[in-house]
Amino acid sequence: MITQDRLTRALHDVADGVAAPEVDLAAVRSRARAKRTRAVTATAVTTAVAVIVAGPTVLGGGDRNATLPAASPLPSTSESATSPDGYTSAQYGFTIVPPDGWHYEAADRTWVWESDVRTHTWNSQSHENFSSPGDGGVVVSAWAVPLAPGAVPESRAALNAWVKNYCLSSGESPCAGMADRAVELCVEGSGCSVGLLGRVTGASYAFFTGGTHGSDTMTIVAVWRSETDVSVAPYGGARKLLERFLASMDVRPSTAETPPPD
Amino acid sequence: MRESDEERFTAFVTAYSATLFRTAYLMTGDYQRAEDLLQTTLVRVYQRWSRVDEMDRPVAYARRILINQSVSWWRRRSSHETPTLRRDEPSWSGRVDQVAEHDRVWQAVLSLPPRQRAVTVLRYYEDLTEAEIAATLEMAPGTVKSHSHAAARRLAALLEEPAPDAAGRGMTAVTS
Repeated sequence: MITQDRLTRALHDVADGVAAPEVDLAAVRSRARAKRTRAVTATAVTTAVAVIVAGPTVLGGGDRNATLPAASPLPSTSESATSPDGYTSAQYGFTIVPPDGWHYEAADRTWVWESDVRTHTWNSQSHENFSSPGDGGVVVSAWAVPLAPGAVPESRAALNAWVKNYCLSSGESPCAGMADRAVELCVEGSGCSVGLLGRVTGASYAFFTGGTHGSDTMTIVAVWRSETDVSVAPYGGARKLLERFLASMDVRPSTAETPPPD
Repeated sequence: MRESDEERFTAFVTAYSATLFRTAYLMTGDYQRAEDLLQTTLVRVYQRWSRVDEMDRPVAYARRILINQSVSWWRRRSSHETPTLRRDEPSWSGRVDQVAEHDRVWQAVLSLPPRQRAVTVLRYYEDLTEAEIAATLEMAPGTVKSHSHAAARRLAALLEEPAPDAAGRGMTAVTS
């Protein structure tokens, strides 16, 4: 059996033998500020869209039978996400603090429109997935959709159109009226004027862009259960559970609005 | 960011960038990739500095970002072949056997699946406790323990074999 001392000496010898580069602090600050500037600019006009959906099916035409299993939806390789600082996505950069005892299964890759929008299921390899403790009967997914330059929604109407297009592209229907049933979201304490919170089908979704989450992506968080499903009852329903995840990302619904009833 | 925050961020980079870089290098076996990982990590730390600076150990947060990025990078690779790089070391220095031994161990570590490698690097280079590794990798302590045992078994199997010969035979990449 390899000894601990043998490993320690070898790794330190290798590490000591490589010269660390000099960090270009100006470049670090420039990259950080460039991203933040884009985000703030977008936030001034466009903040967030959230859609709560409730119904029997999962959004996604690629696999309409991909409704969430009754229990144990995540593979046994999922890991605890109980760190108080939350789980930081290596693929997307956001940090989420799930409820105590939840587990996560990391995304293997980033989300790509061409290949992922038509195969939109809860267990996509591009999703950061969180599962409830015990039987894992509730899964919450988060991912980010890249926005092409010039295609960033900059008004509520544009956001409505973007979400509707996403819904239609995924093969789900009906997507009409999604925006009418929506409630605003506020990203990182700023600009709540154009966010939305609403309902469409069998899961609950939040769509938002801006702030430190970046204006070049649309972050999506989904609870793959309907509002009244018994599995989300301990969390106060799908919307409340979604809001809990969003709050850990510093994204909150506007207090001025409440969603219409199912 | 306020001037005092900028100064503290600069001090943070001065104090920890070399260690973070070396951890990234041990995880990737690739100098350029390690440099990229370090800069991306520092950018993210800078963007959240006001919050990070309030943490008990900001370097732990930075290490978590760096390690999780490097694990993700390995998982994205189309092939998990072991990098074949060798360090430039003077062959006349009298350290030949030692250098060869350390390289052999490191190559074995690099051949581990990403999370087993992360656990190994954090334990034997960063000298973190099991609980600290669990927090860094955002996994349960029991999962850390199982990764650690699996890594030890793989390393033992690899390192008890004869060293690679001149043609590179004798130690092959472990796929994950």
